[in-house]
Amino acid sequence: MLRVFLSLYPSAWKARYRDEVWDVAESLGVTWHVLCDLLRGAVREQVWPSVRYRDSIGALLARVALAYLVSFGVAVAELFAASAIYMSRMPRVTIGMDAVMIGPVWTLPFLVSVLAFVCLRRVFVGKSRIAFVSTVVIATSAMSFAWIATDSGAWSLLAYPDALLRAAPVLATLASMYACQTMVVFVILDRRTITTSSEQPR
Amino acid sequence: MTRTSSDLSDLGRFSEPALLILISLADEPKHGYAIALDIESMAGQRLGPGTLYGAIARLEERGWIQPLPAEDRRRPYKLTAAGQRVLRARLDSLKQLARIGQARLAGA
Repeated sequence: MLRVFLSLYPSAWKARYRDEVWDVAESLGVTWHVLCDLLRGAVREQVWPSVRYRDSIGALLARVALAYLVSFGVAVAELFAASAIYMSRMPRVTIGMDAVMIGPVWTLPFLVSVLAFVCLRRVFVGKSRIAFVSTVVIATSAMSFAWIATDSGAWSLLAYPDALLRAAPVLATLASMYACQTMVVFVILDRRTITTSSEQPR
Repeated sequence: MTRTSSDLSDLGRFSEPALLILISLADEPKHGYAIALDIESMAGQRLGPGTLYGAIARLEERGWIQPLPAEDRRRPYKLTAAGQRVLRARLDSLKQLARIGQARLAGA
C-alpha cells in the first residue's frame, strides 16, 4: 500500500526522498491518516513541486503529446461506459451517441489543459507568481472554450437550470473520472519520460 | 541552487510545519522520524510523512537546513546559518505578536 502511494510522487522527488519517507511512514505506523497525508503530499508535489525541475521544451511537448494519445483511448472507453449507465436516467439531457462522439473532443482539451498546466507549472516554479496565475488562467480558459465550442449540450444546460441540476451527478462523476485519469496518466508519463529527460532534482 | 527567500511565510501552507521543523533542529541534527517525534512532544501535533517531507524539501531547497550523510534509510538534517537567521527572525516576530496580544488581553 505504501509503495502505491509513494509511486504517485514525481520521479525526481522519489529519487531523493523515497527511502526516508518510507522509513518515517513505517516508524509512525501505516494508518489511513498517514496514507491520506501521503496522497495529499503527492498531489501537491505534482502540481506545486518543492524541487526545481528542469524540463526541456522537447520533454515537455513529448509528455503533453503522449498524454493526448493515451487520454484519447481512455476517454472514449469512459464515455461509452457513462453513456450506457446514464442514458436511461437522463430523459432531458442526452448522453447518448452524441455525447459518445462529442465527449472525447472536449475531454481531450480538458486533459491536455490540466497536463499542460502541471508541466508548465514545473517550468515556471519558483520564478514568479504571475507565471503560475497565467498558466492557471490559460488552462482554465482553454478548457472552458473547448467545452462551450464543441459540446452543444453545454448550451442546453446553461439554458435550462433544472437540466443542469439533474445533470450535476453525471458531470461530477465524469469530472472525478477525468481527474483520476489525469493523475494516472501523468504518473505513468512521469515515470516514462522524466528518467530519460533532462529533469533532475536540484 | 537555492531560492532567494528570507521569510517562512513564502512557504504557504508549509510555513507552520517548517517553523516546527526549524525549532526541532535548533539544538541538534535529527532525522525525519526523530523530527516527527520531537514535534509531537513539543507541539502536540503529529505531522504525517507527506507534510513533513513536503516542508523538509522546501527548507532544503532554500538552504535553511542541510542534509548530512545518511545512516541506513535515515538521513539527519541540520540547521544552517541562514536557517538560524530565519528562525530567529520568525521567533522574534511571534514574541512581539504574543506581547501585543497579552497586553490587549490584560487591558480588556
